[in-house]
Amino acid sequence: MKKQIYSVNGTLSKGFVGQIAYTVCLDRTYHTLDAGLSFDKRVLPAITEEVKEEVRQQVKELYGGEYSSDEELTDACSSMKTEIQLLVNQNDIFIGGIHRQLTDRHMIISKNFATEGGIPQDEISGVIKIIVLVFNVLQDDTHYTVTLSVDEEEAVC
Amino acid sequence: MLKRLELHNHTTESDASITVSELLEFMLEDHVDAFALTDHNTTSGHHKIKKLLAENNYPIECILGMEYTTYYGHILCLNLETYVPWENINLHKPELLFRAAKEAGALAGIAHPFSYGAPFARGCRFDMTVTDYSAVDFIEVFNCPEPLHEVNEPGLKLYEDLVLQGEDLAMTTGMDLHGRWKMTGHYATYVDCEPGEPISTALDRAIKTQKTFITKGPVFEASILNPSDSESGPTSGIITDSPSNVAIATKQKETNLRCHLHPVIKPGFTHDPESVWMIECLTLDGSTWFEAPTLSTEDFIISCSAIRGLAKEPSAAPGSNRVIVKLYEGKSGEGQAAIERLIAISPTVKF
Repeated sequence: MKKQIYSVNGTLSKGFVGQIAYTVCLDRTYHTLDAGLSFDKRVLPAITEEVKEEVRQQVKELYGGEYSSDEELTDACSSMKTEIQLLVNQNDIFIGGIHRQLTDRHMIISKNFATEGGIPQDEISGVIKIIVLVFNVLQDDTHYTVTLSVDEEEAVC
Repeated sequence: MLKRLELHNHTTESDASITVSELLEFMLEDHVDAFALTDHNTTSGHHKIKKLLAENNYPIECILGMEYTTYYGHILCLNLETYVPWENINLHKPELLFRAAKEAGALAGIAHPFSYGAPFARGCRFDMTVTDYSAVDFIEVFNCPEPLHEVNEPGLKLYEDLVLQGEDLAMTTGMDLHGRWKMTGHYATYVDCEPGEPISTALDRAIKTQKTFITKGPVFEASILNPSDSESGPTSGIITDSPSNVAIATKQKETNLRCHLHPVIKPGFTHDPESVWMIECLTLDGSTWFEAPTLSTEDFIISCSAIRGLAKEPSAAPGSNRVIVKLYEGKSGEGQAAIERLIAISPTVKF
């Protein structure tokens, strides 16, 4: 029976880069793990003049380039995304990572099955560390949620 | 035996659109000898590809790897059997991660150093400060789908500058595949492989001795021909030491550069039979260009005294003379920048 044993919410500020780790000690051995991550504010709600000026300056400083038109600059701004990825360790050993442009993801791992990015594990036990990898945050007050669920039954593909 | 490698490929284990199985099929269709599995921040595809290869007798090998996709740059790891944590990546000490990967038996290199990163794709540009390049095995000088002038040209220049300054770095290229992308017309990496030798061993040797070949077509190699070799060596070469000054440099009692085309051509390569072939010899002092009248597997010999930077008395210290030799199709000054006509790069010549 699936049991959620942990759920945590966090808030990120614009420009934050780095990782945030959550460590959970499991009370006993399970057959399936489900680590989840979701976040909001993936894209900017509007491409304002302020945003365009900020990007224009960044591109000039970093790449020495200029946009040839306002339309090109607006398109570039529209392509920016908040990017947050997920990585899971069991007893300090990597068991999976999800590196995709998604706002809601789950890594399910059991003995004979794992969602893509995950590595099947004979058992789920000991210490689970969920690492939130924050590559890019476009807006203040970007909310994320990390969940960890376990199941005594094995997951079936 | 020279083998063609595709060293940078992703699957649905990270953010690509093809599964591990589909990547394998795609590589088989293109007659690749070996390909690397380098998903972003996961090794989850390793057991899948091992199982597929073990259950089938495919004429292809897989190089296990991963692309460490960090906030400050991408580090391509080949022959990586064990996941090495990277979360303590340090913008100012990337050597720590390179060394940790190497201690685990992997080859670690800088992927697409000049890709566009922030504010659009943080981490894609290599922003880390490398103080000690002995920690780095290779630089991906061509990430094929990336813009040639904006991204790949500075990547190649970084490699050239470091190598000519004395760093022992290998060069690689990769498609950075995220789907069934056409590989014809793009560069591939070739390495020499002994009969029956696992590709992981051959790649390890090639990278550590900087003996990788890059080409869109024929595999090109330049090597030193010492005076004693010249007496008994090949005599068929004809080369010009400048477009207007034709010279025949055979059996000379001096150090020569032997340029050689291996009888191996990347599938799909086409060229104009009327084309002129040019050879660029790049040293710390700059480039010297030579015209090769024909493109064949016969040797062409260039006198080192005709190469800028080597014309003066070469340095006595073994290995301190370095020449990067590149093959181009068509003459310079024909409206295209040189890099647009670049066909192949030989492993760096050191003597």
